[in-house]
Amino acid sequence: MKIICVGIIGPQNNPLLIHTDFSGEERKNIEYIVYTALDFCEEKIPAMSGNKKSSLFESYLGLLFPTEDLRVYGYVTNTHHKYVLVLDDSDVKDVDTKKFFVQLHDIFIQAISNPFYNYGEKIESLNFISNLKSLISKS
Amino acid sequence: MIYNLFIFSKDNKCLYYYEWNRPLKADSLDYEKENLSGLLIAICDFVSKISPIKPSFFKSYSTSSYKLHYYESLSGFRMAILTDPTTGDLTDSLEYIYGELFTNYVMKNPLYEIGQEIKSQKFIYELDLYISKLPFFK
Amino acid sequence: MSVSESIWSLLLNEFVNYVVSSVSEPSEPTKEENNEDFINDPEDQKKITKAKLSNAGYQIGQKLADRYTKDRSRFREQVDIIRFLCKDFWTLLFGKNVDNLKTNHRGMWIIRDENFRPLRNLSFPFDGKNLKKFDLNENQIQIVQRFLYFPCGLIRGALSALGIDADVDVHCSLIPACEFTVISKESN
Repeated sequence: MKIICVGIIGPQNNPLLIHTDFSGEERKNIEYIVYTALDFCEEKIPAMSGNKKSSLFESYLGLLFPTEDLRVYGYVTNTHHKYVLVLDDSDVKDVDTKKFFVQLHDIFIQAISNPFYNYGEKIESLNFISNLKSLISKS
Repeated sequence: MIYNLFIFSKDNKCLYYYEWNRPLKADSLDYEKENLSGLLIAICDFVSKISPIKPSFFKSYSTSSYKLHYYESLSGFRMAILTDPTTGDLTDSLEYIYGELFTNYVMKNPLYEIGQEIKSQKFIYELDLYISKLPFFK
Repeated sequence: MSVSESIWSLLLNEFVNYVVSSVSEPSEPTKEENNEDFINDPEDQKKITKAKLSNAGYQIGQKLADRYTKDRSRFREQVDIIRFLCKDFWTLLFGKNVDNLKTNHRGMWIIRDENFRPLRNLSFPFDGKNLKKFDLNENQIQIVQRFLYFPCGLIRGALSALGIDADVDVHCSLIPACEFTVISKESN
């Protein structure tokens, strides 16, 4: 699958990292798509003590919304961090995107375990970015 | 029958002394505390030197009225328990006292400073409990 | 990956001793004019010690929440978060479940642990009276509290990261048992 952008948003909807190879105007458009995706995330995340359907309490949120040539997927953690994945392909299985999110969660936990990282701040660790890049190239 | 117990630090300071049964009281307990450690070091040294089969470690000595059992940890703490001469090998008990009681309630006690005398209530209590439950206590 | 318990508890003890001594003794010789900056008041010293230890625990608790909730499905209700705290989180950090949990169902929980790990090896000098009596006097309670600020912070941080903003306090009158009081800031 071709990954356009990976976004990590914090519990207060503050962006911790938006990683994409684009720049300039295109980058702004992609960031806009990530923020739009947040609204869809909110819809899919049931409020506490709301619905009891088990499918609604998975971390993986699935396809949030498709645009003309992009597909946007979402994932939310127990600590209310949201991951947004923007893809180019139309032929992508849920299994693969889910697997990507789980691996992203793994390297995210490694990044925040850094003693120099303060919880809630932007993620600027070069180690994390390089882990993310190798994860992207493997997917 | 268990009489008493000494614990010494690496620099020959007596960290702990407890008496369970001691019909013949010491003339000077301080004298005993100061000198027993030195004696034990000398014995250990000599005993391993004249051993016909190496290596050899000092374990106990017996007299006509008591037996002294010795234990030395790798970190240099020394323990001596005096019992009646018929008591068997106490290595397991001494290892338990060091490994479980001493390590947990003295070394890991955040309120204990290394080199101080041991006054920790939990250690005294647990040690007393353990010793009094040994089959050869009385 | 697991860590040796001995190392963890020894490190924690030294950390507490370090913070206490760094607050009550200045690290550099202070000049005459700067003497007012040096914290002399024991009440202030206590507050600063508590703040330093609690904040350290808070930071770590937040990060642990992420790590320990990774492979499980999302929490449905507050009750689930508290259950996670009392079982999984407590076991991972302190080796056992909590012994008692009480709640008023309006945002307040009282958590009791009869054998709290950080207090297991703690013992005061014997005063010569009753060997079987381990009750603490006022002074001793103050000293024990120092070792409980960090765990308080851990709990506060973990709850905060999982969505429950709460104040956590702790009280201990007979080691190694202690009682944590968690009061959600949203409750009355």
